[in-house]
This record gives sequence, C-alpha cells and structure tokens, in this order.
Amino acid sequence: MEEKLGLYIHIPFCVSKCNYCDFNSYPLEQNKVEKYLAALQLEMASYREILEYNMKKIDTVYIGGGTPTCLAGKHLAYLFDYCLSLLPRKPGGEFSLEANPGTLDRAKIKLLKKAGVNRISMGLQAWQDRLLKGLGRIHDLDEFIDSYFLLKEEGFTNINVDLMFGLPGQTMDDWAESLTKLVELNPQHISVYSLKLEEGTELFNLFQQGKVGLPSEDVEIEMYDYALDFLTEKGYKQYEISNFSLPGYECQHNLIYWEHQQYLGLGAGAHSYFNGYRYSNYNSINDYIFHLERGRLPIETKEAINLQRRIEDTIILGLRLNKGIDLKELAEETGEDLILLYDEKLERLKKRGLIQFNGKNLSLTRKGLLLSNQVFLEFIC
Amino acid sequence: MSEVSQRQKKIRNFSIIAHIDHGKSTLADRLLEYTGTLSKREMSEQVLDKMDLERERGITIKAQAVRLEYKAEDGEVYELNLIDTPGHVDFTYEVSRSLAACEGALLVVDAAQGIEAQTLANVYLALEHNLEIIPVINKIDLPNADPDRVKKEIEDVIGLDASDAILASAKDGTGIKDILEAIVKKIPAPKGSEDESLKALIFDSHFDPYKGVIAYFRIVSGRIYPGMKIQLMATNKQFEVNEIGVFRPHMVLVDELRAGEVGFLAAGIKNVKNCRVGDTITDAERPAEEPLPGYKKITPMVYCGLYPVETNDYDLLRDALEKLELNDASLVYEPETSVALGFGFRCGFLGLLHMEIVQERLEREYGLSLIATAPSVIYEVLKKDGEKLRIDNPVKLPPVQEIEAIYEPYVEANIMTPSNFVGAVMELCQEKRGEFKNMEYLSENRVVLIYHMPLSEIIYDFFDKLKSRTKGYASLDYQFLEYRASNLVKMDILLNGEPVDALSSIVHKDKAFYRGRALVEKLRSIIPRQLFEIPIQAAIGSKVIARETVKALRKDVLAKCYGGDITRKRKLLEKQKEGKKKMKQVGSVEIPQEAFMAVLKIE
Repeated sequence: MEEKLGLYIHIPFCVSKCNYCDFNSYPLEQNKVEKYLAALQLEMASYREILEYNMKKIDTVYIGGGTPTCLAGKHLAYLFDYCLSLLPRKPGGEFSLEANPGTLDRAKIKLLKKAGVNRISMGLQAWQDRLLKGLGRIHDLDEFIDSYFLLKEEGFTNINVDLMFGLPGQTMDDWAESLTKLVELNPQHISVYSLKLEEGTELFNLFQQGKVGLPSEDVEIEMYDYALDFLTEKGYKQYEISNFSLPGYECQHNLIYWEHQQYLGLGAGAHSYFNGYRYSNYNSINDYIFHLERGRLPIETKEAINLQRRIEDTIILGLRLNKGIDLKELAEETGEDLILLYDEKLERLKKRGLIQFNGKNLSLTRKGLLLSNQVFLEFIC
Repeated sequence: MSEVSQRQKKIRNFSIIAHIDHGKSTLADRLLEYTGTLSKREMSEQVLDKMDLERERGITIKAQAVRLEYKAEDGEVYELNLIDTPGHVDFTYEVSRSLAACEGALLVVDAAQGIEAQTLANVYLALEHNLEIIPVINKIDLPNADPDRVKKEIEDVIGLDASDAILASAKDGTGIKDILEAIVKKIPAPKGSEDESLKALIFDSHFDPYKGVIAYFRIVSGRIYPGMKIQLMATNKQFEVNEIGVFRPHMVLVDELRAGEVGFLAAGIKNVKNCRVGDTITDAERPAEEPLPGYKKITPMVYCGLYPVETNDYDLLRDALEKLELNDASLVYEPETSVALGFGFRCGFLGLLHMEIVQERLEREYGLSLIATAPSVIYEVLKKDGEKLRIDNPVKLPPVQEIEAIYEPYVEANIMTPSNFVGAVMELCQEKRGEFKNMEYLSENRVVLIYHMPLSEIIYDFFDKLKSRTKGYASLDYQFLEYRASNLVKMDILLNGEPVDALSSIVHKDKAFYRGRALVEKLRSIIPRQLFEIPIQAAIGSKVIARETVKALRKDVLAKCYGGDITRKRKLLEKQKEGKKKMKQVGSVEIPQEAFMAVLKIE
C-alpha cells in the first residue's frame, strides 16, 4: 500500500456546546483564539522541521473541532496563511474542513475556497427543528439549507453531511424524512451516526434523571438498516460502518485512519500516529499553550505501538471498511503468520455469520457491522 | 484436684466474651498497654487480631494468648493470661476450648446495644465450664450509653449479679484498672498439681514455616519442658518438644511451664491436623490415664466447589489450599471435576463466614481468581438398596428412583431481637421452614426466639434477611441438632439446553417451583446477551419448571472511530475483553462468575 500521511488540526472552540458532545471544545473568546493560533503556529514550525528531517509531505488535511468556522475571518486567514502554510504538502490533496451551518456566510466561504479547502463536512444531524433543539444545536434547518446552497454557489463540489439516529424523541418517520430530504440535496458524502450517550454530557444527565427518553435498541437497529438500504438504493455506497459516498468521494483523510496509515494531529487534544508511536496533545488549551510557549511539543500521552499491537489495530480499523482487509498482504508486510494465528477465531466468526472472505479480503457481513465490537474483541490479545 | 500452690496463687487465666463491635480488641489493647506488656508506641492498633481480614471484618478468627504482668494494689505481681476467643458462630467449638483453658471471663457488653445472641451463647458456654464471670459495660463514653438498662439485662437475661459490673470505656481508658483488680480478686487461681502426669489442653495452633506447628496450650497438671517426649492423646502421635514459651505478646522462650500456666510449644509437628484443638498433650513416658474432657473432631457443615477461573491455575489453587490447610485444621478439600467448570476442589467449612474467609484469603494472599459454587450442606441419602450416602455436592445425588429417603441437617437457632420485630422474625422463620420451639422475653423489649430449622435455609440467605427485616438489630446463634427426613429434590439448570452441573441445587419440593422461577430470572439478569439466544431452564428430572431467555445481542458497535478515538475506543474494547475473560465458557455460553453464586442471592 502506498504510504500516506494525514494532517489533522483541532480548533477547540464552539459558539456553544451541544448537549451530547464530549469533545474537546471551549466557548469562543477572541483573546483566547489569538493565543491559541500563535501556539498552533509554534507547533507547526516544529513539525515543519520534523517533516523536513523525515523527508515527508502531507497528503490530506482535515481541520476539525470544535467548530473551525466559528473563528472570525481574520483568524481563519491567519490559520491558513501563517500556520498551515508552514508544512510541506503534496499538491492536489484533499483538504477538508468541518463547518457548522450557523457559522457560515458568503465571505467566509470565499475565504475557505481561496485557501484551498476542497471538501466541507457539515453537521446537520436531523431534518426536524424540534430534534435539533433537543440536541442543543445552534442552527435550524433553514440555516443549514442556506449554508448548503451558499457552498454550492461558491463552487464546493465535495460536501459531507452528518446525520444522527437514535436521538431523543426521534421516530422512524423522522429518520426516513431526514434521509429522503437530504438525498434530494444530493451531497457527495453522508455520515450516519447512532447517538452515543457519553458520561458527563448534559444529555447523559437528562437521560439519567429520566427527563428524556431514547428510542429502543430495536428501533435503532431498524434505523440503521433503513439507512443502509435507502442510501444504497440512492447510489450512495457504504464504505465504512458509518460512512456513505457517491463513487469516488470517499473521504481520503479518514481512509488514512482506517487503513492505519500515519497522521499528525496538531492543536489541543489532537492525536497522532507517527513513526511507531501513538501520542496525544494536552486537552486543555492552557496546558497546550504553556508547553509550546516554552519551546516544547505539548505531548501529554505517548504509547509505542509494537508489532502485535500494530497488527491488531490494523485489523480492527481495517474491518471498519467495507472493502475489509487483506490478511495475506498484512502477513507478508509484518512477517507474521496471521492465518495460523487467527484461523480458529475466523472460523468461529464466519460460522456466526459476522465476517466473510472474498478470496482476497476479509470483511464484516451486514450482520457483522452492527456487532463489530464482538468481532474486534476476537483480535485483541 | 489438688491444692493451689503458692506459685499458682499469682496466676489468673481469663478470656473476654464480647459480641463483634462491642470493643473486645480495643479493651485487650488497653490491658496490654496498662500493664506495660506493650508500650503505646509498639502497639499497632489491636494487637490480638493478627490477620488483615480479621481486622477488616472486626472479627477474631484465631484465638491467641498473651501473658500480662500486673502489679496489683496488694503489692503482688500477678501473671495474667488473656486467652482470646473468636466471636462468630462458625467457631463455637474453638471458643469452647479457649474457655475451657480459663478460670474466668470478662463479659463485655456494649453500653448502648446490650446483649446479643452470640454473647449469650458464649456466656452459657463459660457458665458450663464454671467460669467466674466479670461483667464489664463498655463504651460508657457513648452519648446513648445506658449502663443501667444493660445491667438489668445482664441480670434478667443471664441471671448474673451485675450490681458491681465495671463501667468502662476501652476507648478512653476508663475502668481498665478496675478490670485488672477484678481479675486478680475475683477469678480463682488455677489448681492442678505439677507433680502429676502432664495434661495440657490445646486451644489453638498456628503453622510456622520454620518450626512447624506451634500449639497453644493450658497445662492442667504436670509440667512441660524442651526435650520432653510428648503424646497427643486423640491422634496418638508422639513428638519431642523443641521449644516452649509464652506470648508477651511476642514469643518468648522459657525453660519450663507448669500446671496452671499457658504457653506454646514447637515439636516439629508438620501438620495442624495432627495437633487438633481440644486434644490433650501428655507425657509419652508417663501418659495420663484419661484425656481432658470435651474433645471433638469438628466436621465441616458447609461445602462448596472452588474452581480457578483460569484452568491453568489449578496447580496454584492446590498449592494454596495445601498451605492454608497447614494453618486451618477445620478446612477440608478434595479434588472434584465439573463439566461446566473443569478441575477444582470441593471444600468443607465450619460455616459461611469461614467459607468467605478462605475464599478471600485464596484470592488475596495467593492472587487467585476463583469461581465458587453455591454452598451446600451435607445431605444423607438412604438408597433403596440400603446403602447410605453422604452428599456434599448436589451433583452426586443418585437418581430419584434409587432414593428411599433424604435427610438434611437441622439446627437449633436462637434469635435475639427487639420485641417490635418479633412478628417479622417469626414470619421469616416460617418462610424458612422453621419449627417454632420457644419464645422468651428477656426484658420488656428484648425477646429470644428458638426455632428448629434446616441448616440449608440458614446458609441460603437467612442471616441477610434477618438483618434487613430487623434493621440490623437481631442476632443469631445456632447449633447442629439432628438429621431429619425431608422432601427434597435436585433442581438442575440448563443453559442453551445443556445442564450446567455447577448450578444444580437441592431444594425442598414445596419451594422448587418458586426457587426455579427466581433463579432463572436472576440468571437472565446476570448472563450478558451473546451472539445467539440462550434459553435458561430450571428442571426437576426431565420436567422443566421455569424458563427464561437471554435475547441475542444485536448491536455492539462504535459508530465513530477517527484518529483521536482509536486509543480510547481500544481501551473500551480491552475492558470488554477483560470482562469476557473473567467469564466461564460452558459449552458455547459465557457465564459470569457471580452466576454460580446466584443460587444464593435470589429473592
């Protein structure tokens, strides 16, 4: 497999936190943003040296958050012109940016376009305003539609939209409507996620107190199945457990994660997998800035990935993809006899109808998609 | 018996009788401190309770003996031997032997709580041995202390004169001197001639890896010295004494111990089973004609299977049991095989507490991860062909058609409770197949109820229920009564159509339906959903009496897994895997460890 290197940049600011979110994000404060960008610039400069020394160039860029588009135009410009520009990149690579419908206007979109952003990922989550409200989203449906057409008008031809199912108060009809209406807009890429209650979030607490109810597991499964059938019928190909795209529009950056290629994560709380290590930056903006200002990389945790671990992770991540994983290729690459190692387990999983083998690649069956953890467990030592 | 010699006049041997939490250990500490046996600095809190477990549970398991030197008000220095006693119903026999080694006892009662069933049982034991009893009302510093009520209770319930009961607080040191003076003045000095043949009562022992068994004894007559050849009268084994000594409280060697004294000996005894509590040590050259009375070979009352979670740990478990056995003469075990659990051991215990202690020690001290099957009593089975069997494992019960009768052990239970809970306690006892025998008002608001009931019901969940229905106020004591014929059946549990032997139990026929129902429901809640549907059935013979289903797992997926999620999601998977590893694979079903104890915990 051709070696690739992804770059992720974390912008940990949001206008306000959604009630289901446990991501690393902070309320937007101009003064904080400037300090943060200055620190990010320092981190970029360090990585410039590292990449030059390793003679490596970036294939894909993904700017996520938080909400990158909540930054003011001048701050976004600073991010592109004084930070990102420091790193060596291969020309023509995918350049994604996460956008929130409530934070886009024409000027900002022009600026993104000018900076070379060629893929936009927007969180819609649901077509129904009452559900959006229940999640604490800052936008309504109309704002999403406006943003979507603005993006198209300004020439964006690769747009992803996130939808969620298993939401408080969401019915099967709501879900079908969300999918149908979204597909009418014809985005190139759709991600569908089941809501996971994360401890410590507002929604989690509301649920614990019995103030919101969630659809049953059976309904959730029905929703997932429905999405699979519906999107396939509409020409969207599933290529990962939660991801669908029109042919040729798979997210190149995310494929790097699932194909267990290397990536650098810059910004507070960002994770990297590089030169045999998985490591992560300090979550707290203050810690992140503190270390960079003193000339150190802001790395909080670091873990060496040995061969065994690399094999396991490669399988677990690779199986998320519909194309699956070529065990023979992995065996040759690592020098381990994986067939012998996993033979018994593979047989058992095959018998249960969770995995399939097409002569080259091993992949999850449709039943296996929803039970993927049960499959992954077999590959963990 | 002979005259008290001048030497013996200055010896006092005594125990402390107290309910758990009534402050025995703290009181023992104060006595040690006051007599200078240990300085405050030397004392780690509560010297007498050696094992961590004991300290955590506040229960003394192993009796110990300490020699205190006390200069009394009369100017003489007395040798006081404090013989500690265990405080739980499982260890009644050990208590009786410790008491038999004394001439007196301190009866310690909590000034706020009053007398409890276990205390009462032990006081009766002490009275049987004609011990002089000195009532001590402890914790008088508590705001809700009511010493007058407790005094009256001691008089009404036990019939002891409590007018000069000592008011004490072991916590702040009040009354310690009064206690020591009372020991000297009231408890009789030991009798027994040092010229007669040796008779010494073994009241405890422990195993020392270098010296072998250390036996704790009280000399009733004769003398003992290093180099002496001794004989243990119950086991008829002979040994040569290597060393003798006393506890102060550290072991101090001495040249000789004589009638009336308390001490320890080491004689190269390899196994505590050769040196049983209650046995009599005598002089091998000049043996006593009769052993001391009261020796009993104690037999386990409760059995359970212990299996390593990891099959490979079988040898470790065997080694650990061998080591524990060196210290614990009442632990018995033999290898057993279970279809469900593989190779393990059927272990016998004095009671539930003893069982829990052994399990915890195996897990804690030997790092083992164990599966325990639900405890069972010993059933006696008379077969139609006249053969008699003792069944310590439900699996061994012969087929129904071969059985003439099944007998189960009954106990006499003494339950002490505040009178407002009498109704609740009686109801509970009825539910547990108890047979009402007697009820006695100990005072206006305290009652003792006497029931005859099956031991199996007591080990089931009786104690927990008793505590919860009486807000923790009732206390329980019981002793074996007899075997009685009962209408009992074996109930099997089938998972996915396959019987799981380790989940079988013997139940009363009238309760089988209810228990079966409750057990399958409980198992349904314990067994996690798996990749296929799992029927759970309770059956008697071939007749299914209850059924539940664990639905197949349909969804176990992490929707999002991007660069920043990998480490975290992997940790989740590792945790999930860890949990899976702890489960026992029976056929194709994974069963969590607690399922095997579920039989006990059903409502």
